[in-house]
Amino acid sequence: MSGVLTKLWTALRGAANEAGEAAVDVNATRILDQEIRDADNELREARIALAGMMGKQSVEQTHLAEKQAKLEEYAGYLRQTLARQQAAAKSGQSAEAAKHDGLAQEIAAKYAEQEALIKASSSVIAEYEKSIATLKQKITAGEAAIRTLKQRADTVKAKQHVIRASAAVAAASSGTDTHARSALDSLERIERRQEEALAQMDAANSLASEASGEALEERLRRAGIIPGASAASDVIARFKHDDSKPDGSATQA
Amino acid sequence: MREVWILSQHAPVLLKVEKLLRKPNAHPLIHALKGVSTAMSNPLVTTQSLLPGLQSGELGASGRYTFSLLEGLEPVIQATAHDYGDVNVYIAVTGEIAVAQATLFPVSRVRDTARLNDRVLRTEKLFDLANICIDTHPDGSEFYVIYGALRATSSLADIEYEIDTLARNAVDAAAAYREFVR
Repeated sequence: MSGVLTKLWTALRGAANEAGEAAVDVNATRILDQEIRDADNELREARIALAGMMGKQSVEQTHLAEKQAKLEEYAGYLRQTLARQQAAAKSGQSAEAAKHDGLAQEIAAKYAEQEALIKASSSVIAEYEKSIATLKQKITAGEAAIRTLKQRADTVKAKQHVIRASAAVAAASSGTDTHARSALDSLERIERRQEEALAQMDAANSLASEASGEALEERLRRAGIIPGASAASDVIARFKHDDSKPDGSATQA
Repeated sequence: MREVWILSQHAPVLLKVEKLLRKPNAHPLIHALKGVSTAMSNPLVTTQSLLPGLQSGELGASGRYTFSLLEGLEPVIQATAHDYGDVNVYIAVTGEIAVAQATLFPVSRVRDTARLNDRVLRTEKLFDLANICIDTHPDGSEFYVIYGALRATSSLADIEYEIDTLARNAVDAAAAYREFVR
C-alpha cells in the first residue's frame, strides 16, 4: 500500500516539474489501475498456490491414514506373535518360542520404522498447515488491499467527473458571473439577502409609522411643539419648585 | 421439493446449486448467498439511479434543493442549495464511491496561499464529513474545494445528509477563510 503512495508522490513531483499538477489526477488513475491489476494477479497466484497446498496436504493426510492403518496392523501381529511366544515358552517349546521371538523382533523393527514415517508425515502436514494459514492471511490482506485501491480509484474518478462538471458550469456561466456559484459567492449572496431583508424591514417600519401619523408627531415632539414625556430631571425640577404637591399634580413650569 | 422459476439460460447454474444444496453441509454456498443478499438489500446506486430519489426525497420535495442531471461524458448531479445562497453541490457516483463536492473559491483570488493552507490544515476538522483540497480544472485554473466521499451502498437518507452537511460546510468554510481571499 505504501508503495502506491510513493508512486503517486513520485508522479506528483514529476508532474509538477513537467506539465503542472493537472496531470496528477490522470497519473493517479493510471497508477491505481495498474496497482489494482498487479494486486489482482498476486491474489490469483496466491489462490492457486493455496489450492495446490491444500491438495498436497490432502494427499499427505491420505498417506498418513494408510501409514496409521499399517501401524495398527503391525501392532496386531506383534501382540499375536508375543502371545504365541509366551505360550510356547510356558509349555517348554523353546525352539518354537525362539522362532516367535525372532519374528516379534522383526515386526517390532517394522513397527518402529512405521512410527518414524508417521512422525515425518505428521510434521509435513503441519508444515502444509502453516503455509496454508500464511496463504489465507495473504489472500485476506490482498482482498482488503484491492478493496482499498478500488475505492481510491473510484474516488479519484468520481472527483474527476465532478471537476469536469463544475468546470463546464463555470465556463457556461462565465459571461454573467466569473465565479458563479462558488461557496464564497453563495456566502455573499446570503449576506446580501440578509441586508436586503433588514433594509426591507426598516423601510416597512418607517412606512408603517408614517402611515399612522407617528412620524409627524415625533417630529413635533422633538421640536417642542407637542410636550413630550417628562424626563427625570424635569420631575426633580418640578418637585424642587413646589414640594407641597408631591403627588405630581404641580402646575407646569 | 419445490418448483423454482428461473430464466432458461441459468439452468446449468441452478443444477450446480441444486447439487450443492442436496449436501447436508452447504456452508460455502450459504456464505456466498449472504454476500448477495446484503448487496441486494442495499444496491449500489449510480448517478442516474440516484437522481429521482433525490428529487422526490426530503431535500427535493421540500423545495430546499433543486436537483438536475448534467449530461456529459460522465453524468453528474447538480444540487442547488436554496437555504445556503444557492451554492452548487456536484454529486458523481463511480463504482463503489459517491462523491459530493462544492467549490469554495479560485486559488487565484487567495492573497497568501501558504497562510491559508496552514489555516485549512488546522481547522478542516471542524467541518464534519468533509475534506478540503485543491482541484485543477481542464483549463488549468485551480480551485479550493470541499468534498465528501461515501460508499455507493449508502442509503438515500445518508446521501441527503452528506449533501446538506456539505452545502452548509461550504458556506461556513467560505466565511471562515474569506479573510485570505481578495
